[in-house]
Formats: sequence, structure tokens, C-alpha cells
Amino acid sequence: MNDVLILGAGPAGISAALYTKRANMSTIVLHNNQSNLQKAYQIDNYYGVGKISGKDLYQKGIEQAKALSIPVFEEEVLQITEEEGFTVTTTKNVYHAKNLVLATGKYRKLPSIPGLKENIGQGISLCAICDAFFYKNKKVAILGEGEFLHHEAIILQKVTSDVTLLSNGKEEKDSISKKIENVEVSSGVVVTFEDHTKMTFDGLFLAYGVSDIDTLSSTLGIMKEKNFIKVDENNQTNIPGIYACGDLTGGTLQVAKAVYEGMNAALAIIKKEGKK
Amino acid sequence: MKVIEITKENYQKEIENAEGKIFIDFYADWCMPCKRMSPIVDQIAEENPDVKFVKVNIDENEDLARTYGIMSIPTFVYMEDGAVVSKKIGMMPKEELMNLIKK
Repeated sequence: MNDVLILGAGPAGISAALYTKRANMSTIVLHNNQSNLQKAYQIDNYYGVGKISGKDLYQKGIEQAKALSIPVFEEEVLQITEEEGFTVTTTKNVYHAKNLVLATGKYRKLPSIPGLKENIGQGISLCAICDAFFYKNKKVAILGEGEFLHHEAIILQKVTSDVTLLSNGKEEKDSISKKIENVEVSSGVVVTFEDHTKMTFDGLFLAYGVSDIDTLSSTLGIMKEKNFIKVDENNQTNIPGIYACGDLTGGTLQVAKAVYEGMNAALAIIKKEGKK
Repeated sequence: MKVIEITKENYQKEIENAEGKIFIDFYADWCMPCKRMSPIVDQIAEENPDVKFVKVNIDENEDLARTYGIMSIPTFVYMEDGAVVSKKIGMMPKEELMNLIKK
């Protein structure tokens, strides 16, 4: 069991890792190499670094962590569960930790298809494990991408054999890749594609990764406030042992704020675990 | 007031044939968000003695879940005199859940 597992290798995640590692806590960082920071062309206003591209700053952070022998792994997270600590399953491994730091940024993966977000909970679900119960032997579709799409398909195939994979314009194995124009809920979930053809399902599951805020809320029961994760003065969420920092908690979306919150969460964990 | 656990034996009395204000919490033991919301529901129940609060375990009451069109949990349903007035789904702060029973 690790002391700390950190999801996200941007300023918030790496900042947290530097503090917990230096307090002799076993620390692992996982990321998917899709940080918003990498998209920043040039950063002029971050203290001590001068002009730097977002991509270079991101890499510098990871190198700094590795120099302290902090494992930083690029792995897609498929599932997070809680039972005597937290278990994080990725495409390659299963990790256990007493504390979890969520620092995955504001990368919005859910596609902006009309009718999607509005109907979550009314035929559209963000969590196969949570809602598969309601679709036994029914006709379902999963809209998503990557390993996560297939991971959620396996869960649904345990309750029904009628599972269709949709990938909205992306090429994914065994899926219908046509782009979707809109989704309506009326006597089922009606998916209209850009070629005007339609398919109707009893339910539609979204599979764009666990680190989406709405998905975290659905699966782990993390409290949101508007579009951000709600945290206290220690950057702890409503779940003891789970912390959130950086862009995930909203406010000023800046590197300096993310670095501070990563440190803040780490210091809270260090104090809680009685380390120095 | 304490939250009443619904069973096959009491659901007719407590929900179907009941009048007045009823708040129903549809949940399952394996549902993490349901566990987080449960203490919030208990608090709201204490503060609103004029409303009857009940909880329905969907594993044990599948038919009831289907009758109310439950497609995700937690789902909270507010009824007055036998009719569904409003519904809310998922995780939310106490203030937002309270809106379900406020006029």
C-alpha cells in the first residue's frame, strides 16, 4: 500500500509529489500526457523561470520529480474504487494507496453533443458499474474512446448482450465511428448521426475516462460545486483521504495556484499521517 | 424524523396509500455516491418533520424502482398526496437537495 497516489503530472500533481516524497512518503504519479499546460505557447509570468513554453515547463516538472526518484508513469486510469484505502486500476497495473491526490486539470473530454449532458441520469450514464443494474437484457450503447471505452463495454456485457460501441468520429476497434449530431431522450435514447441516420437505445453510457469531474462524482461520490471539485482549506474533498488541487478546484486557473494547492494538499497528508 | 427503510411489507402503507409529503431516496449498498448522500438525507429529515422520509434499496425493491422510472442512483423523488412533484439525481450539496422539498 503506497502512502500517496497522485493523478496528474502537471504543476499541482508534481508539486504535491515533491513534498510528500521529501517527507519520506511512498509516492507515485500517474498521468495521461494530456495536460492543458502543454498547450500554453509561452508562459512569462511564472516566478523564477522566465519565458518558457507550457510543454517545457511540464517536462521540467516531471524531470524534477524523477530526479527525486518519484515514479511518474504514463498510464490510462480505468477505475478508482475505495475499500481500505484506494485502488486505482490502469491499463497496465493496479495501485493501492492510503491517500489520493486528484490533479488532472480541466481537460473537458465529454463531447459537446446537444442533448448529452442535459440528460445524464435520465437514460444517459457516466458510470457502467453504477448503472448497469438498470439495463439488464436491454439495448445499450457506449460513447467514448480509448481503453476506457472497451473497459466499460466489458462491464455492460455482463448484464446484456446488446452493447453497441460508438466513437463519434474517432477510429476505435469494433465501434461505429460516425459523428453524432445530437442525442434525444424520448421513448429511449435516440442517437442521430451526421448522415441523418438514427439508432435508438434503452440507455447510453459515456466512456471518456474517470478523471472527468462528473464521472468522479458519479463513481466515487465526490462533491462538486458548479463545474469544479469542492475542497476544504486543506484541499481535501468530501471523501477523507481524497484531495483535489489545481484547475480541478476552479478559481484562478494558473500555474502558481496549482503549485500552491499541490503543496497544501501534500502538507495536509503529511500532517495527517504523522510524517515530517 | 427518522428515515424509514421500505420493504415489500410496508411500501403500500408508506408510499402507495400514503398522503401528504414524502421524500424517497432510491439507493443501493454498492453505490458510493448513495453512501455520501445518506447522512445529508438524514440531516434534512431531522430538520423537516412535516415530510416523511423513506429509503428504497433498489436491489430489494426492483419493481418499485421500475415503477418510478429510476435509471440511475441516487435518485431522490418528492411526492405530495400521491403525485410526484419533483426529482433530483446524483451527488449534490445539502442546499441543492433541500430545493426538492421547498415550495
